[in-house]
Amino acid sequence: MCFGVSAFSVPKQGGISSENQDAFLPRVFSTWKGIISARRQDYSEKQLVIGVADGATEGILAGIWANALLKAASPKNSSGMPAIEAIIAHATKLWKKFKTLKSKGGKRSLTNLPDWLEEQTLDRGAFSTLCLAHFSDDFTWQALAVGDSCMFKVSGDELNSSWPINSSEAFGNSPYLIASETEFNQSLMDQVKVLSGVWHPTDRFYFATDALAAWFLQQNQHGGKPWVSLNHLDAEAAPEGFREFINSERDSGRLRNDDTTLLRLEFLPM
Amino acid sequence: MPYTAEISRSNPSAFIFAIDQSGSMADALPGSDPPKKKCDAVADIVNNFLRNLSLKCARPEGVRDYYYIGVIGYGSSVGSAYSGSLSGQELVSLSALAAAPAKIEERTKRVDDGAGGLADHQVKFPIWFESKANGATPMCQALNLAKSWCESWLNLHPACFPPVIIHITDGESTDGAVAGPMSALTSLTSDDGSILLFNVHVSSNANASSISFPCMDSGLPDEYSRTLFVGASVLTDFMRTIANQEHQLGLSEGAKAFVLNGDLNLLVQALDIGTRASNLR
Repeated sequence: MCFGVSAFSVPKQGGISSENQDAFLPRVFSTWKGIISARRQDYSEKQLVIGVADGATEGILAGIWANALLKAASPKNSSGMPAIEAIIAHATKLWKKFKTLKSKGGKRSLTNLPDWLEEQTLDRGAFSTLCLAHFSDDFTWQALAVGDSCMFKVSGDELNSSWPINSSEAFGNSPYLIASETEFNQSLMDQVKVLSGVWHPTDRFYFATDALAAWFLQQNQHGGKPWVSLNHLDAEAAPEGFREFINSERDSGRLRNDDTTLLRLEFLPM
Repeated sequence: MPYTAEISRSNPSAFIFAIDQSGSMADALPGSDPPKKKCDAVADIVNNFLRNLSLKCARPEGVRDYYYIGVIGYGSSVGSAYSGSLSGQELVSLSALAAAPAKIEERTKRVDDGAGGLADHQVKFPIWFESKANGATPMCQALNLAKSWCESWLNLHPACFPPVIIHITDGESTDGAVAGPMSALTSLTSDDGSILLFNVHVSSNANASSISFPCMDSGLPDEYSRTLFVGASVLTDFMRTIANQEHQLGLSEGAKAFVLNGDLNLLVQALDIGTRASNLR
């Protein structure tokens, strides 16, 4: 199975790249002028695990947690599509290790916050969405999602599947999130969505965090083919194109100002 | 379209609490367990709000100043009710607040012990605003002071999401008719809409019927409650969405930011509905 992955991620307007709390897998990015991370990488593998995670704004170190979830799901840590329980268990270990490593001599030094606030923010932990898919060289795929990060499948020139959300109106302010502290995950299993299907070499898959996913669906609901614009983005030759495109859509009011991440997956001739 | 301004570090918004600290606030508040005086319950709720807002806006590099917050107390005196090093200050940035609680108490919180029971858990509880109940009810002075703070704020932040005023009281004004000051306050506007005034009336009478977020004044028992109703703002669409989706209140368009004879639960609910940001960036 040969495929190319293009990854693009920009922080919300007015923010800087270190404040971007989105994450994506595979981690194929390079940083361009500290603002945009994008690169296309081609692979030849028997399997691919790909996805995005959106660290919640209202949580400290949410980007670290979003990355931990994806890292826990990477093929290095499992064969086939990992179960959500395994992903969370592994990510929780990474999260705890991170907190321990960053604590010095009993005095936490993870942040510039006042002591009482750092203690309480770390106790509360971080939260993130997750939208992840496993592609196998037998032409099957399986996906899991929690929250409002989305996967789109385009076959030919038609939107074949929009998942787990299929309407731009369905994006709310309180998506379900995976917590780094297990006591907040008590009803998580009810919120985990799974889907499977088959892929064809001419299909394209897109993974997007909520702002871009809502834009994608809104464009499509109005008869547009938003994937055409996304297909024109070139992560290698013109990485700044994504930032310009996103800023233009934000300025027009069509795209909500939020951290924004896109993964584009296309299959290549063997 | 009003009430859509982005709340950001470059375009922050403000909350102002106007808290009745008259002598009657020392009476018990129904619904509190263990039983609490109204003044203690209100102080806990305001301090807990400031704590939660600090948590919400905390980032590794520091607390983001999405909001500036002021607390006005009115009873034996009228003015800023902050304690400690912030004493006397008006609208204070959230990062400055987080850095300077007057004290940090150890509180006991009951949490799920994971085995079907409850266990006591010690938590640090920062205090910025002390409980107080003394004197009369100079409500007009308090609301006029809130107006003055808002005018200064709006001069500096004309495009902001309008400040939200949470006014908590258990009694009638003793310094004149309050309708005028309320109307003057809510007549102030930013480019994004008028100041939003919540009138939250709390009662010590456990048998008093509570009314929350009404659209009409037809069920209100007296002229005073009608005055608070008329003075309160209409809830924004987003506030109604929070009320309906997260508190299952089934509010219709036109519901007002008004609670009569509220108990502890209604007080907490009103604060949640009034202080959620629809567009925090």
